[in-house]
Amino acid sequence: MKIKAKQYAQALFLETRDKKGDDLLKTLDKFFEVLKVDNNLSQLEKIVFYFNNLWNKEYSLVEAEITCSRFLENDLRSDVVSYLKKISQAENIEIKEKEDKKVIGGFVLKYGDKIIDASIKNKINSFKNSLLN
Amino acid sequence: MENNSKDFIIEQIRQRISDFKSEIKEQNFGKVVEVGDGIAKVSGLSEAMMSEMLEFKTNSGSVFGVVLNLEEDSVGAVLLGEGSAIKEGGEVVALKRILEVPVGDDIAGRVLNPLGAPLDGKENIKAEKFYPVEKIAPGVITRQSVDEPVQTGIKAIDAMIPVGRGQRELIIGDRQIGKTAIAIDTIINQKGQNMKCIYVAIGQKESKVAGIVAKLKEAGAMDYTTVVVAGASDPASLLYIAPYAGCAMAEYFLDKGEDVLIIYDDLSKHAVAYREISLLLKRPPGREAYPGDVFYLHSRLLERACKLNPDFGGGSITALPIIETQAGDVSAYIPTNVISITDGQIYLEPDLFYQGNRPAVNAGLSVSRVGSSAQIKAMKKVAGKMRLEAAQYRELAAFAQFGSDLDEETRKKLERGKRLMEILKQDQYEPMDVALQVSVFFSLINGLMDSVPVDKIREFEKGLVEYIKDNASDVLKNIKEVKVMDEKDEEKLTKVINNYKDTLDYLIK
Repeated sequence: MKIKAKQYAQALFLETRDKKGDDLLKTLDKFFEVLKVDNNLSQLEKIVFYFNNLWNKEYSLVEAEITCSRFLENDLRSDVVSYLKKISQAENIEIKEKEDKKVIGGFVLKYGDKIIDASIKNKINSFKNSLLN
Repeated sequence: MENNSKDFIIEQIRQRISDFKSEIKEQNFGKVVEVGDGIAKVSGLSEAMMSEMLEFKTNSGSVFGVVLNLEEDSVGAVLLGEGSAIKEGGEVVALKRILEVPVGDDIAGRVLNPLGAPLDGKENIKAEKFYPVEKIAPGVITRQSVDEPVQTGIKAIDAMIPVGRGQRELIIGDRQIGKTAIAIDTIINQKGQNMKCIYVAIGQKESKVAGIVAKLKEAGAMDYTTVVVAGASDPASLLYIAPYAGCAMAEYFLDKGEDVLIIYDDLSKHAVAYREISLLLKRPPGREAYPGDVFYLHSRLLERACKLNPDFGGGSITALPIIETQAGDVSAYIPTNVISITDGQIYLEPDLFYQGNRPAVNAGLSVSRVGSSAQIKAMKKVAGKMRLEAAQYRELAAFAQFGSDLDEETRKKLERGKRLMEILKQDQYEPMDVALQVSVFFSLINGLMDSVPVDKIREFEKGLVEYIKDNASDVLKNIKEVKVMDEKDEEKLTKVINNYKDTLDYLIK
């Protein structure tokens, strides 16, 4: 029977949930051993992807990314985080920041598989399209 | 004046600037996992809908796609454009819109691609509305039985295989046998018949399409015709949506209560394009490697042809799908499917074609399940006898090959039959008016042509048509307007034909 990456991830997640320190490392070693025996090491990338999903769900964590033309100030960042907590109903937010001059102004906020594009660049583009049509 | 128009333009732009609202919306996005062969697999997009539009963002602008597969944690999509700029990990945004085409009155006379973009070098379509490409066909309550004819202008079809408004009649035959010619002649004959035409070219050579458009222009048929082209070099996704897009354009006129004729040229290539997409999306192949839902592919398209009852506008969509067979094999998968979906078929036969019987319609294998309710009364009267004569001739001709001693009656029937076959021959791009068809058939079934030698029949017919136009125009007018031929008309027509015969010198004494 072919084992899917998702199933490996679930098994690993259940196995490692309550373990710490040496115990955890040992479990991981064993897990890789199993993968090697099954000849499934190539699935590793996918397994990590599914594992992350499970992890985020369990600990109510949302990964977010905000792109601005310059870095945010601290109080603004905490505003963004509390806003994200509100709309995504997650308890923990892990936010990454990116600086990109091309957005001109405003911000592009991504979290989960949602995107909020409130950049000046996007507005100019949609204005251009509305004038052309 | 010039100042005025300038002011007007400035005013319009000001209006649009003040009307412009930028909305910030939360959108669903995903990442490209895999791309190639016009197919993309996208992760994320947890809220994607079936046949929703996707926007693939690349360094050189956006490429659009359509969702075709919804899987557990990814989405399969076809690309509607050049996908070489799309990279793995690239951003994809769901547009929350089902695939639509622009429709409006100014699509008439245009050559468009399946997305409604112009291919004729003229300006963009001024879209009055956007219609969804996929739509559920009208239901039972809204429909009505077919009772009005589509005059194809082709004698063999109008007499023996009548097509009605709202019917679906398949044109089937091998390659290079005149399938498209029948469709084009039909479009040309719709001039002044209150009919909009849409010609959908699927996987055709661009040169062939260019030739058709030129011919339609020359015949003055482009005024009421739209050509939708997904050429041989276009991606399979465009070939796949082309007939649906054409049908959406037809539905715009239908909703206005108009009659529309739509030609799908041809559905075998459409099925091949869909097979390509399906196999690339890893759907399991079935017979002839087509996926399990090829039947649904064509049935949902052809069900959209309809005749609505007056309470719902009374419009109609008549569909003439074309299927190309391989070496006359009508029992292949796609031909049998489409034969069973349509309300009849016009079968074109190579043997007849090479014998010079053009259009090469095989009257025995061709049927129209709508039947004579799609004929005007005058035509019904003559065509019934014609069909009988043709059937008798076919039977006797096979039988008479064995014996030479035939009784008088049989010989007469054979002679009449030969003349009938001659009469059904018709040149391309020369559709004939229904009133003239009735008069020609009238003279044949009443034995007025029996004294004309078989090899002179076509010459005789040509002369007769001109003579009737000049000398019995009131009869023609009657047939056209009242749609019946009474005894008085018959008498007059007989007299006119006899008068014409008196002017000839090649008759058999």
